Amino acid sequence: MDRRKVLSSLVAGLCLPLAPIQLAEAAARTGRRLILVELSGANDGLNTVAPWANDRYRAIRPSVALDRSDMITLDDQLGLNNALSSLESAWQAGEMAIIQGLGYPEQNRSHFKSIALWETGGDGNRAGRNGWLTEDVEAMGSGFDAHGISLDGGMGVFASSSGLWLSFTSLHHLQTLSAVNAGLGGTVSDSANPALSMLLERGNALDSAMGQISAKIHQKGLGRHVNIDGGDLGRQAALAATLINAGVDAPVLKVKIGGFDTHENQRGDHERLLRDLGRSLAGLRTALQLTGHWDQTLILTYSEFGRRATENYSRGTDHGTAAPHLLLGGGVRGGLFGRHPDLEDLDDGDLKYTLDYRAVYQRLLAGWFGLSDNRFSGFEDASLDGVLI
Amino acid sequence: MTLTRIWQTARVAFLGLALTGLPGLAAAQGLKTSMTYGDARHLLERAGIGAHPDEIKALLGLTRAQAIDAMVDQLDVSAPFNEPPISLSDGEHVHYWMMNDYEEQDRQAFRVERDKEMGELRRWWIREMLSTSSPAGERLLLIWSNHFVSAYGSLNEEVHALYNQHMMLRDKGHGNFRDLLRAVVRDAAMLNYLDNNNNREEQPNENLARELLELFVLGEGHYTEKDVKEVARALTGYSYNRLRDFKYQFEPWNHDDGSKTILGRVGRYDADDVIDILLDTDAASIFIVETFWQYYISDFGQDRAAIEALASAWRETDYEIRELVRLMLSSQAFWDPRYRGTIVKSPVDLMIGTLRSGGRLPEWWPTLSGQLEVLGQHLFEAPNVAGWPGGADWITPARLLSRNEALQKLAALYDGPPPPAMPSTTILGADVSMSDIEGRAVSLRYGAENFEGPPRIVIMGYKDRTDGGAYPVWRSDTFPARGGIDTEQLGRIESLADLNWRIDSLEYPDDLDRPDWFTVGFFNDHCCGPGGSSGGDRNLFIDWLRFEDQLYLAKDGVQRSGCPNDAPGSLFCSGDVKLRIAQPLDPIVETVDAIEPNRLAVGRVAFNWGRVLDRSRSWNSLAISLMDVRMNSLHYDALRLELVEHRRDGRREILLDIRESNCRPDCFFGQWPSTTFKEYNTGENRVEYLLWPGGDPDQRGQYQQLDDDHRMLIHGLWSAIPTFFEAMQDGRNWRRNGQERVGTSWDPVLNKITDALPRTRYAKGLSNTVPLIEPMPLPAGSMMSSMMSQEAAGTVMLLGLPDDRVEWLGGAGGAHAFDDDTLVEMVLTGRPARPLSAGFGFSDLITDPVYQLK
Repeated sequence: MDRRKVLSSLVAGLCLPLAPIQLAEAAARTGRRLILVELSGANDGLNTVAPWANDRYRAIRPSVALDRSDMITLDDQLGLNNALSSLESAWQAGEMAIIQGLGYPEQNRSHFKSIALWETGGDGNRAGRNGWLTEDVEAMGSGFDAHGISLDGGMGVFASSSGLWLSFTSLHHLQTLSAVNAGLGGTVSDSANPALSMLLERGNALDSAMGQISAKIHQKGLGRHVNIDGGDLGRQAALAATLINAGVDAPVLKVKIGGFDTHENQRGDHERLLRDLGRSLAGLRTALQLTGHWDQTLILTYSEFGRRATENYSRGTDHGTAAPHLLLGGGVRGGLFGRHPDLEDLDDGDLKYTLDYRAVYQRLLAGWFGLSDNRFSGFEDASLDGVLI
Repeated sequence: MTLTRIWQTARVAFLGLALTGLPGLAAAQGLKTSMTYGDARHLLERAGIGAHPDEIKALLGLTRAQAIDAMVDQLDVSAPFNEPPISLSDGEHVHYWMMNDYEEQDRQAFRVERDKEMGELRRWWIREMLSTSSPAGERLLLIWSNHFVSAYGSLNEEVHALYNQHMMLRDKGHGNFRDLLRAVVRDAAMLNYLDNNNNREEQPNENLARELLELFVLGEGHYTEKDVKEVARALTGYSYNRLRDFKYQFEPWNHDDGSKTILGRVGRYDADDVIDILLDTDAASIFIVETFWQYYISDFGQDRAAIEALASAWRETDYEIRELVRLMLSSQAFWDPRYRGTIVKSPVDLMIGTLRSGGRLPEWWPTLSGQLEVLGQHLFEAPNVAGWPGGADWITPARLLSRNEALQKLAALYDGPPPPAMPSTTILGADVSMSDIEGRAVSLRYGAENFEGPPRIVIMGYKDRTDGGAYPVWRSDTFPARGGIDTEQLGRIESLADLNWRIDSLEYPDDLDRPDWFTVGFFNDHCCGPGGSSGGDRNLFIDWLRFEDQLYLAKDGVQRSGCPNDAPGSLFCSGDVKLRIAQPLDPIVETVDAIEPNRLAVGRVAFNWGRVLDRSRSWNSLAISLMDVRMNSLHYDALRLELVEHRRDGRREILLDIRESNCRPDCFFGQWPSTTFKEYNTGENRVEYLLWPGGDPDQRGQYQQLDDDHRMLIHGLWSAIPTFFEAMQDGRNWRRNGQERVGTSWDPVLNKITDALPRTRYAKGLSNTVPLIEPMPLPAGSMMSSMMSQEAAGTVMLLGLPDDRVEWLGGAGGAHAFDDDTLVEMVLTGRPARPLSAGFGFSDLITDPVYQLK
């Protein structure tokens, strides 16, 4: 037998029943999806949503603060950094919510440790082990092409020993991988060995998922895939739009933009990053509106922490605490949610968080995916009432 | 030998006899069974890494008990097979304690250097696992590294601490579990990783305490939240010294020495007491046996009775780890067919195990750490303190795909005849070691990312013309970069450390003048795979070029390429880097000679810490960090001075305080004056030098007993205080919020010092009371050795032999010496999951699903 032909795949067409992931009685499938956008390096919240009316803002940031003309007015207190002007239409359309003052108890200031907390739903007293939504999304059942797909390669938020969580950094990757696993048939293995059974079942499920995904992509054709001008994040956003438009059914997608660790000469760098962020999300919105998928899509940004309220001596900002995050989608009720941290009440130069970030997780799992009894039920917070239509 | 020790030894000996009588342990009969091919493979894959036919054959015919003894005899891997990276092992380390004072750009450069060293450490460990003839010891090390996790990403680049931890596990991992635990709670990397360096009496941090109970010793359910808090109190003050040696340092001022209640016992416990209390429980041994069960017996299913019996037997040995391994391997469960093939191979098993089993190393072996990362086991970078969960977690869908690809690649390696010896592509030599580089050669250290082929490198030498122009005098052949990482398959590197750095050497004609400068570049840039550069990209990275006795660092070069913003040396687009600035390669003789006698020279001054001066307090202090302190014959790499203002007998005094933990190397070369103060709770040595002479006899002795050079050093340091105050204001430490206020509050003290100094003894004897403050030039030679990858040098060994002397198991059509059934038994843990064609070989077996299990 020609080994190359057989491809010796571990998933080599094993005729086992396709039921690897337990079907929980939880939510019926809703067709809805969540796109997570990681702002890696810790985004400066105060210069993303800036309190323009507050003199204290300029006092603690003499060189880093935005001028009035650098922002889009949100209300009589706050403005959105002009670099995010691509998102103005989403804001005007009432499809962008800004959730303010997100943080957690006992702030950890290590990039690695804190992003791990956001990804696993932990706080400074206790790290989580599994991705924050893996258990609940897996409980939605196995009728998806995948439970989640990471388009930046990072799997921390999908950390789980079960479920169909995939990682593709490019369409090319997707194509070659699916080719490797395509159409193999023939052999059976009986097995009293639980390890072997699991291996074969998972291989089989994967083979089938890859087959479905690649068939969908091929059907739509790759030649017409979306282009979004927004640097590397734009490329990932375009990949996300391509997958969604091809009908790939995965409740969670994840993308990432890095470089937010702006310790020095922050203004220019930060604005370039926000520009890419704004263009990528706006481009994704347009692409999904065109194909009618926007109403089923929710986009959430997150970052390991915010930056210090007071600037440092290098015209930058150091590792801080609370920050606002963006929630976009056809199903979002736009506006400002939560409370902006008080600049008069700093904790040694740091903002005090006003809302535990897990309240957002609770809201998304319950309100978007219909999983009212989820891992974060205890964090429900009324300040988020009405954020999802 | 103490009585207890004798008694324990006797118990161990007794245990050997008693073993067979214990329920759940192997019957004596079973251990007398002769080893089959399958048994040997099973034992080697579980207790070691991979199973090569030579290793298998060596066990055939032995009884199981004898084979187990052979494995247990390998557990000591404290003496490594290959020399560890010099930059980590030479006992020197870089100035971590100064890093925070650097500007962002310098800090970034500092981090990049540490990341490179981390890459070397990874490659060295991989090389150990490939090379070793004691795979059982490396297996045990893998287990402990995943039990006592410290991940590099969370260690502020303290790779030297992580190296120390790794060596500590090599040293203590096969000894007594109690000693191992004592070392772990004193390990710098662990104390940092679990934040115990911030665990203080007034503000306890429970992280290490919690994991000690939950993950290291007892397991969940055997302690209360109250116990966590109490253990945290016992661990307060356990910290480490960044300035000196990354070793444990007890900070009594942070330690809570009050009474604690732990697992119902009450006392003024410290960490060692806690460990003893935990080891007095049965839960500890049961938890560790459960852990070992997962590695040695099964990921799927445990046998409670067997585990409890094993745990009880282990307790009888007073926690000798060697005996625990022997117990595990001797247990009935280990040999039980029920449990065979119920462990999912880890990426290390899959990649390194296969290379060992197959008996030949591919040219790309130095990229294995990237392969392991893709498969989910990035060494020294476990996802969290719980380590890699293993089992089902190795075969998540995303990883299954990558495993499949990796096995395809391995299969291709073993498909045909043995590969030829490593091609030497460049003129004088590839992978040269430092001592191999001859005088008149151009050597280049580089790394590459490949995409549909490698970058092709060209080096040019130029001479300047008097009119300001230049002309080329030499051009190398264009040669392909070797060892590049295939970005299409493995993705783009995340940091330069992940590159497979190479040194190639090219001949430079004898009759040619030396050029005034060089260029190194490539012009066959190629991008991208579908979906952008993440889908594939071809890039070249230059570290340095050496010619004769000069070292040209790429970072000091000027880059001309299509991507103008990239750092010099990182060529993401076609172009070259122009290298004109060079440093002499020979270590620069200490600049002491260049400084006039009796004058102090300091490389860098930084504000370390201090509180706002408050004269209502009896004791105020402020610490100043000094780097490269030199005077006459003395050179301190690091020195921290504490300036103290305090009240004594109703008067305010000003003094300089020097303590043992604040010098590197040892203060006064360890020759402390006989009247030195000793801290009552740590025994730390400390001396004081008053601004105004006088003081008590002890203080006088501390001055009078100094040798001439040290006495002059104290003069120099005191006289330099005003200059230090000025100089430290340039650094980031000073500028950080609130510190200026601290500094300003000390102005009155500083004024007093400035006034007084000319009239004190400290002004005497100095040739210049103003110190010289300038960075000490780095010896280029040592810099180079720290940049050089050790793995580049020397023959690569496999299974303790040069790899061309290891039997080759590859080759299609039965090129090996085994019949079909034997071959299957030597490679797979059970029947293959799909039919084999006639003439199948090793490469067919390793792509069978069953090969993923052991």
